[in-house]
Amino acid sequence: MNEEAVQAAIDAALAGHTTINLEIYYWWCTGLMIAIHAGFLAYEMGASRAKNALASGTKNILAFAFMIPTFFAFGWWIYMAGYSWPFAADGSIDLMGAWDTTGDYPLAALPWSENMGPNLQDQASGVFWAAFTLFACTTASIYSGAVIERIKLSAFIITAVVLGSVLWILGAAWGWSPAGWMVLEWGYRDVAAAGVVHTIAGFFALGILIPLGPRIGKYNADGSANDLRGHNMPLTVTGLMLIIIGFFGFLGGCLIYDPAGNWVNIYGVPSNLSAFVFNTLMGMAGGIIGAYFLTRDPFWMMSGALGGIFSVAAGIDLFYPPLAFLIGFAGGCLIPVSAKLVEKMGIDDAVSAFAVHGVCGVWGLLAVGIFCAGYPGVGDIPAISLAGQAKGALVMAGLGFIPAIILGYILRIFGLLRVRNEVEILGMDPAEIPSQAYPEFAIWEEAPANYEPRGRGRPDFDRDPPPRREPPPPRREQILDERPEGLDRPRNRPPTRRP
Amino acid sequence: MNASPVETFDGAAAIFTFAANQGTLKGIFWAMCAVLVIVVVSSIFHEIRVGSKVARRRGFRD
Repeated sequence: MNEEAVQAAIDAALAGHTTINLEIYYWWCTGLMIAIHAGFLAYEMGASRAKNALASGTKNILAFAFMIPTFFAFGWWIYMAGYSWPFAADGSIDLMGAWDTTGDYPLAALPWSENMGPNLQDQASGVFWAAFTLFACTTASIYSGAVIERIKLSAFIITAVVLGSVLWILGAAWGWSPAGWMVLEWGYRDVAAAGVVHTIAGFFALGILIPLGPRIGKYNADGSANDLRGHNMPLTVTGLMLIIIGFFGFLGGCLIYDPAGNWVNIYGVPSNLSAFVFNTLMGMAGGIIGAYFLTRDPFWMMSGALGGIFSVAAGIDLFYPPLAFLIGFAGGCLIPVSAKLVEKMGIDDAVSAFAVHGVCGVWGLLAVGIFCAGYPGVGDIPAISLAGQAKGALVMAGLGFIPAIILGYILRIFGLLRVRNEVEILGMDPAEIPSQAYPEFAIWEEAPANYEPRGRGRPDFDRDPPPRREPPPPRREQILDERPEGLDRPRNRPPTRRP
Repeated sequence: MNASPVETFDGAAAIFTFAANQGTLKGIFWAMCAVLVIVVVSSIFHEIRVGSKVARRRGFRD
């Protein structure tokens, strides 16, 4: 074998390894991203009251399940074909003609394409599709928590599919692709999807929450808000930590392992995992400490951890790590403040999804414009600018909010958005779920006598209203408070001094 | 700030060079340290305040 043949054999072997490395890398990123959904499942069930725990979990599981086939059917194609939509080549608006229907990538993304299935000649489409599908599932899960305890399951599925398989991926085509019009026109930079995932999902949640309305009991007649706490804070906080684990898969999936074996970000700009991990961890720490500084509450601290990561996501491969810490710190401080503001506006966001994702997403986009202005792009992509980032944030917020509020009001007009008051008061678990989260608490026995599990007849509350609950037995503290005068409560007794 | 961003992506330190141009690295570093100290000090004051409030309410003071 001559020297050239040896070199050719070595090159072929290296190329094969590169392809296999690419497949393996995205396979495990996708697997790790499923931890995001395990986390959201625990988080939302814990943040629900006990009577709604399983209904919240069911909603979350179904979001995951519906996103996968719908993203296969049209989501992936929207990403490949919608990078210039709605603008035609001459800059005019052309709603039908602006889709790229003839390019190689859009044709390969059609659900009946030979690339969209087992194919020994294509080792990339499957793993890239899977990673993007899990991003889509994440957007739906972000929105899911905001609307727990009162949205109809069917309404949630419809809205989640619109968000996860249409809106966010359209935003990704515009701003998370080297061919996207926002990238080429404004130099928009959003490396780890602060705008296309978090801003869109956060503002979508806000757009649905307005027509959906608050949970019964959230607000008093004078407009003051009550704190409807979830039934299991440890589960919620653990779920948030699981989400962070999953985000390491998410952020890893935002890097491209190119055929030459180099790392580039989604815009083709050279980058690497080391840059990502420096700023992910520093942003997370900053977010936790910022939320702790303002609230001392573990719920806000873990929300701050997420908010810190999202605050640095847009420029995750560019910041100096202590700067990422400070940006995350600011994000962690912004979350409780903006959540309180939203609550005062009469909007009941059960898990503060808008504050964590919407507000921190916008802050992250602006932070790139403030601190990274001037950083160049490759090819025809302009340098980063604050104006480009601000316009990009506005587009992402609008892309989430405007369709959501229109869709929400349409569903509301047809009575499809919210469960009936009787169901909400009784609890969605006894009304809709043929299982129990906590059988010992006997929520099940409070269901109407004519109850049959879903699928074999729904309870008819008009005919048989739900039984009135007996007042609960007095709690131990009440008993202690009612002790006769002169008897000290045991817990007020001074400690016995040891000799 | 941002006076001279990198013009090329050649070189292993391109990103860090840009980060250095975001301001004085040491200034940002010490700002982070200052935030950490402020949070710890505020935590100490918070615990003193909460501890004394609880002690007063429960009559634990000697």
